[in-house]
Amino acid sequence: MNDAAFQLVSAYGVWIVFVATFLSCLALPIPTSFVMLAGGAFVASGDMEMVPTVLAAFVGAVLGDNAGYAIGRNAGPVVVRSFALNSRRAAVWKQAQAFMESWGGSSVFFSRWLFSPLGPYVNFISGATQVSWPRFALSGAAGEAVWVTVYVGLGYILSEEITRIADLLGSAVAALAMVVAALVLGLALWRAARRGHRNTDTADRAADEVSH
Amino acid sequence: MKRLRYLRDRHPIVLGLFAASLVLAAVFLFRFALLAEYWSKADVAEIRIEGWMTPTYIARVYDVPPEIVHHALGTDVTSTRRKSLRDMAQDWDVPLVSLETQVADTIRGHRNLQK
Repeated sequence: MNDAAFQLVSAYGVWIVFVATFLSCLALPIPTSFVMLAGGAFVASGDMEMVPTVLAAFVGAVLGDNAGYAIGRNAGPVVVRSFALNSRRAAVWKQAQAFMESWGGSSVFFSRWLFSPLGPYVNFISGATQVSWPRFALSGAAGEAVWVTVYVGLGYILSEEITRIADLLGSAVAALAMVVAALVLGLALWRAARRGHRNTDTADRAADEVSH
Repeated sequence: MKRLRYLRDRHPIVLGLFAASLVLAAVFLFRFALLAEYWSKADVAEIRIEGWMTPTYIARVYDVPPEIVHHALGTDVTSTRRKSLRDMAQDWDVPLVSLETQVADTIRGHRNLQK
């Protein structure tokens, strides 16, 4: 995977950096972090230029984020209609909306770089839950600036170690994203179980009162 | 146990996603640990030339003047900018491994002369 990403960057330069960052924001499985590391390393070796590489990565990522948001925003009403058919799903949807209203900005910002594998899904959810576009766009651009600077910068500074960094960073970021996903899902399950337990107790008490 | 049964019956998808994310987190952490162990033991003096590398990148990684790598390949700086060894091997219709060996041998020779 790393080799293929590095090979593509040596063949297509800034164009592949732009295309990779754009498509990865739409949930396509592209090793964009490796592409940006390779971009930074090739800048260090003099094979590519710094400004076009950084711009290609940043513009591609910002356009990709906004395309994902637009898809979510347009598909949102369809999702809401399908969720409204089922009371349990409707409750989940309301929770998602409330979460994005309170934490939308920071969710978008941190899912650009720290939990980047979750980024494309946060784009869709932000659009579907109607997070305001200026808020999404600003948080997204700020997060992408960090993502691009960190990865292209690491590739540039540690260009001699790029294979090692790509291996370790890829696994660490994926593990971190899965831990965050497990925490969010675990919290939702814990709340659902507590609610379910309380409802069962109330129903049991009501049944006892009726029988007495 | 009762709560788990309740979640399995009422929220099977969320429970499945939760289990999958736990398993994947464990897999990636294990992979990270294995790679960290592998790289900590890797021989830094070893020369590992790969197909995606360009002549100037190889020169930077192995801290030799770019002319040494170009000399090994019989190329010049301007004609091979951002051209990988794999692309050169295809263009010249030669096996990639022979270019990799040629470059690695030349770097070794240069290092020996420097000692």
